[in-house]
Amino acid sequence: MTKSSDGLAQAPVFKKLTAVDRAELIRLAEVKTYRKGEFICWQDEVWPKALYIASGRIEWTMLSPDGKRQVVFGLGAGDVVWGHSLFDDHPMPASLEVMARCQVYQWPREVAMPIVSRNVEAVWDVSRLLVLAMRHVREVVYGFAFHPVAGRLARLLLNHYQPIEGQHTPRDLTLDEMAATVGTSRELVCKVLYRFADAELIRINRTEFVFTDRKKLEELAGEVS
Amino acid sequence: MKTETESLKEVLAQRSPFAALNKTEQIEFAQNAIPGRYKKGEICAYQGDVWPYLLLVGQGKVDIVKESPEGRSLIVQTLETGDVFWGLAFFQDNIPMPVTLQASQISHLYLWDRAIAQPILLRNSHALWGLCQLMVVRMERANEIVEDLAFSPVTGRLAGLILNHYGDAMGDYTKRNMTLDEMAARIGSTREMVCRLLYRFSDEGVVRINRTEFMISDREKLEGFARKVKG
Repeated sequence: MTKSSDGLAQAPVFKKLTAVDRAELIRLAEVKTYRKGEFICWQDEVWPKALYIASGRIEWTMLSPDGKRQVVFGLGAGDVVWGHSLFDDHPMPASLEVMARCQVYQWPREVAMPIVSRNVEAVWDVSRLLVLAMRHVREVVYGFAFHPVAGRLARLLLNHYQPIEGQHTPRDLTLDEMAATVGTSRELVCKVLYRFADAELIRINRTEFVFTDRKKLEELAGEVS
Repeated sequence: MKTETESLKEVLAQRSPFAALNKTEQIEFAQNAIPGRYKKGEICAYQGDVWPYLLLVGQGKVDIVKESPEGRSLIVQTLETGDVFWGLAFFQDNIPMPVTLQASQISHLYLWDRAIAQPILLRNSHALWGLCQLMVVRMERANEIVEDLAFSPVTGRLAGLILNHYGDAMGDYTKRNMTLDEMAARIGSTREMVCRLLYRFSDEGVVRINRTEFMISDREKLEGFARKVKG
């Protein structure tokens, strides 16, 4: 396994480090590969680490006591995660679940913090990343508070597929994945998708979507007042 | 008698992230604070405004309120004396406030403009880590709200709110100090739904309620409602 500094030199926080500090972090990184379905950390586990995603896809997910899953936000190549436990020694409020095979660089607190602290602009970047993560979490809160399932599903379709009207788009989210993201059941997702199709907002088959009325979807998602 | 700047300097020496600054930096912060007094109900910052400030609640309480385009409100959190908050534009240029800040009682706030605060913070990585720690605490609270909204039915959320807010009112009447609208705004529901559920709780003997007073009569059952997970 090779440790490349290319991606890291562009990533938030790490790009603000001096080349020497970055090289030291790369040398001290624990490089790991995870398969789809594996967990990098578990909700309720103390995980005082910083993580850089070199490739793949990860989701920040929460589980209810009876096993219901809620996706809070997704992360991909180039993204950086600062584990909450790194700041307060408390257990993580969510799990990091691997959605597509990924390679990550990770550092325990005692390695990451002293090196990052030598570059105060990099610490400022950590605070900006946390602000961004908080915005993701808050968007989910507002979705639940103000939007019915149809609105949340419309927003997911718009955000995930970034659709161009009339263009065929391969379906890469299962009904279960959509349900976990908008906080409902696969049956209701299926029903609402067919309702969208009946209202001619989308056309749908087993493998593809065609988005036929983006504006109406945006209205449903609450993005147009 | 101490000046306001001297008093503020003492407060800053006790509060994260300011406590991590050195004495000179704390004095600089205290001298550059913009003080403001707000009456109950007064807006301190509007959702949609670009608001590049760091805020310390000197005294009082401030609700963080999200408003929907249809005019519904969700109280995301209440800031209390000593709490620190920030506008998104404090960290990123021209990003508007996603929420409104509204004083829920007479409040005395201190603000720092990004142009003043950022250069001081950028001299001190310990203070910045302190700020990160505050963010993580705030984010953990937001995650708890997600957990509640995603996994707990409205009945459970209302039961949780009653236990938190009126938990001491077991077997004794206490004054109702939250309107139906406030309750709805705290659990992400409507006043009609809150009203319906309160009457259901009352019919089932869980609470007793009249126009001005409130009593929890079956705490165990109420806790049972609060624990229920969405089916």
